Amino acid sequence: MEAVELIDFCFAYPVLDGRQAGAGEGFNQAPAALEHVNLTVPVGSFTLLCGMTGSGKSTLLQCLKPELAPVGTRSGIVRVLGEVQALGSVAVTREAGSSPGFSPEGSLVFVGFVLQDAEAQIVTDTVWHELAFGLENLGVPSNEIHRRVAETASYFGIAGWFEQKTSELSGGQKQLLNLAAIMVMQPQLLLLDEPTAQLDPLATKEFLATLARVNQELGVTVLVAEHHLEDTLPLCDQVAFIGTGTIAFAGDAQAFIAWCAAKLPAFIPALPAATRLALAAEQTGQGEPNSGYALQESRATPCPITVREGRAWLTTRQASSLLPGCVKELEPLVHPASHDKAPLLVARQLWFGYGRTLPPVLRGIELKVQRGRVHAIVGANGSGKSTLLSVLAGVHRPQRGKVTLQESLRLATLPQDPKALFCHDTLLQDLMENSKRFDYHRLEIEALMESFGLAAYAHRHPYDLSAGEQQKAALAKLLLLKPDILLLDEPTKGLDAFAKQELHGFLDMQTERGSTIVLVSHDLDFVAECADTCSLLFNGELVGTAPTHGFFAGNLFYTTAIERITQGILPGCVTLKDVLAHE
Amino acid sequence: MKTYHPLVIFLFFVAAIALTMCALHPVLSVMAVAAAAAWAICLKGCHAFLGMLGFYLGVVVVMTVFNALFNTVGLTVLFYVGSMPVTAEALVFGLSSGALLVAVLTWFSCYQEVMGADKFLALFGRVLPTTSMMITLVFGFIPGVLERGRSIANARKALVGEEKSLKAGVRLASVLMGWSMETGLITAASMKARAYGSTQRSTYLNMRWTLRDTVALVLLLALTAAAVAAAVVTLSGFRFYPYLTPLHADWLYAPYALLLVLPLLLEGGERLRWRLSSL
Repeated sequence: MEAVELIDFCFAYPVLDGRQAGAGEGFNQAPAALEHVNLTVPVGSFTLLCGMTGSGKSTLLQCLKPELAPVGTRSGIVRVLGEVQALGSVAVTREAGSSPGFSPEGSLVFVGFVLQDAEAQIVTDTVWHELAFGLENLGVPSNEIHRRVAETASYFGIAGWFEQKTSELSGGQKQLLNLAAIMVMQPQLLLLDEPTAQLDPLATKEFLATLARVNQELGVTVLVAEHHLEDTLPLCDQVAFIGTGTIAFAGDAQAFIAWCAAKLPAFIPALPAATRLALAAEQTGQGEPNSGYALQESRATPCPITVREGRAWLTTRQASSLLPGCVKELEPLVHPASHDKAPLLVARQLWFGYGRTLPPVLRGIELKVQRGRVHAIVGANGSGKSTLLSVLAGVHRPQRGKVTLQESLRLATLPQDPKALFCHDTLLQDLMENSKRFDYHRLEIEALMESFGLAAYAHRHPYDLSAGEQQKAALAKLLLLKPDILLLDEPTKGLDAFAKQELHGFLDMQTERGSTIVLVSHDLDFVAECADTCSLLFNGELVGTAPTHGFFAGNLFYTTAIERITQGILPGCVTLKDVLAHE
Repeated sequence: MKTYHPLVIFLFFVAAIALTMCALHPVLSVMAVAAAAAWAICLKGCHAFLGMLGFYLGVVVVMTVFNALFNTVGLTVLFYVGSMPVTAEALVFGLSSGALLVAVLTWFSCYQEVMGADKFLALFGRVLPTTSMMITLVFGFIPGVLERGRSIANARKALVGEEKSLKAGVRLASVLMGWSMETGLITAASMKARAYGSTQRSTYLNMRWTLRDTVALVLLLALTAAAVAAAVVTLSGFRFYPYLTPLHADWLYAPYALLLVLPLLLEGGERLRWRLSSL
């Protein structure tokens, strides 16, 4: 039986005033419309919906939930839980502005929807009330709510923070609460729109583990749109790839990898580390592109996806000596001019706390940043990374210690949410904002927008851009001030693999021009690729400051996926490049 | 007291605050301060209370000094400030009214601690479902708005330095508004996806009415009635001006005092029983 069945489904946003009305992901030249979508999601399956940003993932998910369905014209057949509830099998004919025709009562209860923004989804002020909210809306009597809320809270491990205020929860707890608040209504189909995009890696894993449990133990059908494949690909039964408004591929993970390697090499960077490693090794090993996994549709050994599989794969390959054995430690990358120059920014014994009675967040930070370097500070959520950055930026004054800058240097900070930086109605106006004070011209802006690929959005509202484009726009706004030091707070938050690659490129460009970058992040793979020096912020102190390569190679747990795959097999490999250098 | 039904808690505060405010009397007001302070210490710890003590003492001193200097109605002159007589009656009146004010403030701080918005809403949710839902929404929304406001202000500060002009304030407000509305759209979608507005809502109370609530309520009502009667008698026989009515120990103070220390008694009883049962 199918939970979702789309037959030749088409959807288009209405045309208003000659311009297409954008909603959800619709920020590209034309908002993502759906064309001839055919997709079946079996009951009880875990289906992953992936695709580039702006390909229509959100639109497709929203079309399956009548309450959230965007306004537009649609045709074709949509069956949602067709046999369970009589809400499916209604072919909606072309009627501009109409909502789909299936009965709302069914989908209200049986289809649950989790959105990307964990915080904005929370409606009430306390955890227990949030859990009860959906049931209250359905008019369930108080006693029944009491039982179901209690049951749900126990199942999701919420009992410990049941009485807390929702504003005091961590991001991961918030998203878990959102899932629980939907599960309390006992849906049969869960639709999730990039639920882990805003979470840190640890919270992401926890959330996905819970989601897998819901799928495995309760048999709830899961359809999740994600760009974070590292953790979702191992979980799913089916992968559907949506490319420019239509389903380009649907099948299991192995078939998807083979398809990707053959037809869509551009998407490979989004795949899990183990898979990328295998594909890359295959390619260089055979000397010709698109060979190996791409062609062996029915091969004996499946392509590795998880770190465990990656390690097994690597061991076998090494046994059959396809890869050279553990030859030697890679030469540590030594920067020629790393210590001969005076540091640009020095922090000495920084102590900072938000209140006299609260425990200090920073306890004796020592930091030196060299010119032209990328210094990354990694650490768990709540370890004080953002606080450190704001102290360095001069937003907060340290209670003890001092930040010394070389004279007349300009600092610019990219906040965690780039929305905090925008204050005008169009991107162009926004970028013009500081032109008088910092003396730059429109021509400069236009050149910068061109090089950032933002020229097409000059007259759009900054909020209508995608996460990646907002990040770029905010970065552009900062670069116009010609800062000597860029401070970046979680620059990869909410970005997909491609936006990350792009960001990496921009950072390289900036350092080549002589800018210095300090970034805080929990995205270890990103940091491993773009930073020169890394420090771990733990318990208010910076621990283990070292060149990136040495930093990660020395860590056992807190390190990149590639390092975890190659640990003990190919020592000294931190990124994919390192492994390929072995070949 | 926290573990009692919100109705009991709410009624206690109504009784305690109303009585404290109506009974301006040297002994009664001082008793009210003592009871309120004792409970505040019990609830929030000595440290938090000492933090507020300076402010409270300030209130009392200001009230006393002002009344003593500018009120010359009393007849027992203690000394002169310039040509102004300072009377004992005015001094006592100032002290009592200062004590009264501090007592009321302390009751309210206890109320914040014990009752909280969620219990108030739970209590009145049935009577005013729409209003209470709206208040819940607002309470859920405010922390996020504050957080966003902080992040916008910090981003500005890091970008162009501190701005204190009116223009900067207006801009911050407008950015905050735009961003919050953007967030509000998602909240609205989330509400819609969870069947908000589909049928008549029910109201879930995270607390039950138990026997001990009944006992506490009966006790509370009886003590309130006695305290009101006693206070009326006490106050009718008392005058600040022109001469202070002489004060002496009186059984009539007892019901008033008992009512105000009721939460402490209930709390103490609870702790005693806990001790005994875990022996």
